[in-house]
Amino acid sequence: MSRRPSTFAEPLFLAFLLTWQTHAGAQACCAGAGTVTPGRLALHERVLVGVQVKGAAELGSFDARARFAGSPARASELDLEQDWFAALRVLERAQVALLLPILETRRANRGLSEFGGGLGDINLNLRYDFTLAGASRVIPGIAGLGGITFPSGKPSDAQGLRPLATDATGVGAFQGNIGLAVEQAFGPWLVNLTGMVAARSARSVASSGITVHEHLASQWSLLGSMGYVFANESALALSAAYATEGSATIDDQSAQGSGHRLTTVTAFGLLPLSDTWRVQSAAFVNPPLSHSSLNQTAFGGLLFTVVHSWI
Amino acid sequence: VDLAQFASFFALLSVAACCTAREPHALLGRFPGTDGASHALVDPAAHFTVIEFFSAHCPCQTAHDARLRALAARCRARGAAFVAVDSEADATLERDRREAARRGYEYPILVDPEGAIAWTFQAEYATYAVILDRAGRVLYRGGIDSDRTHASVDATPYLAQACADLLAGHAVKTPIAEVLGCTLMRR
Repeated sequence: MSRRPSTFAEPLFLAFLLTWQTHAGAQACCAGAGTVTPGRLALHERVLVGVQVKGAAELGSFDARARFAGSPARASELDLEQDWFAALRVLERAQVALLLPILETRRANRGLSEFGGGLGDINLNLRYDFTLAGASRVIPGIAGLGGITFPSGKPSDAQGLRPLATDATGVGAFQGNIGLAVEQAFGPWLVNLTGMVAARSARSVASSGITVHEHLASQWSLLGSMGYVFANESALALSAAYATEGSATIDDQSAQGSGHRLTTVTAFGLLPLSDTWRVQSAAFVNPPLSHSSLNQTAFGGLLFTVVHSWI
Repeated sequence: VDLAQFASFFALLSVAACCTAREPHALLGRFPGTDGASHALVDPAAHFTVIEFFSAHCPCQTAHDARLRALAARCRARGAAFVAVDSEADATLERDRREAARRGYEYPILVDPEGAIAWTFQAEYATYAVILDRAGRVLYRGGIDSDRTHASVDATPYLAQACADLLAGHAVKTPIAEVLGCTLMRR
């Protein structure tokens, strides 16, 4: 059986993309920015472009009672993703970011094996920093986040998908998200807490001559992270993200048991190569612990990111 | 999602952010320096005074230590004054004495934990520098150069060029330049 692509991937990446900025020795600065959020412009940066390459293997799945079960012996999934992103400072405190994800999936089940992929859902985001972390002992850095996700990917219920739906790459609905990020420095440590909520547009889905109207529930995400920046501006960080959404509505009826929850733990590292180049890597896992997620596939994987910025 | 509530909240945040910005005030005080003396900001005996906003934590500061030492030596040898100012909230004379010794600064760091000097010159970032004439007029304001934390051989030396212009008896050709240092932590 194929599964719907995780509806959590995009908002969580957005949270990662724009919310976290490291401090260097207690100062928000420079190439230490974005250990967790590669697409966020650091202080003084005007433009950046980058790519994040992700590889993830399926560990198992959580059922509708949040019980975890490992993958069956003859079933497996390997996800690859290349997220191309760019960010532009439009005002001193405002930046916009664009994300183009390219997804590939290799899925095997009961002797059937398949590889597919394509363009995912494109995101456009805005971040406005009301205050900067590290500028005051009393007032933390506070930023407003907003964005829109376009249904440029192919949803799992699209016509003509392959048998295991490896070419399903999107949610199929427009998504508007808004959030708030708070961060503060404590010496070389930086703590960040970000909350986001995403609302999705309703859509009609036609299958076998029957058309239904689907409306995914709003999705709430919370991301907490803590990082440490060394004197040479390399940085380490650990984040935990939790996202939840209620049951979808099908033809104005709540589809009981269709809600999702997903917990993700990620360890990050950053190495600035120069004032304008930096590389980042991360290891993440959806903890295979019952009740930590719901109706989701659990993955573990690695991320590698290269960023070039202009000051 | 109640967008109106979110919009109202962000509007309140904007007002709060604006209200935290205070007007700079004129500065006539004296400040303790790491050399044990009390300093006025402007040295009337010097051709001009260079003030660099220092941060003990900032890697941008550390990346510029060697250039600052060299520039300060050149300026002081030609009759200009050169000081650093620590306007961060955690500035202490003891800590800055250690920092000055560790970094090999032969010029004093003035300790200003109240941030009065930073308010006066609207300094927001470490490595921001101003040059004052004998009357306290600002002749230059901006960064040290176009580098951030990695020193490059082709950096544009904004501050050094401004000093060279003044030492040559000319007006500063580029009186305002970008600054790329860390955010100064203020009270």
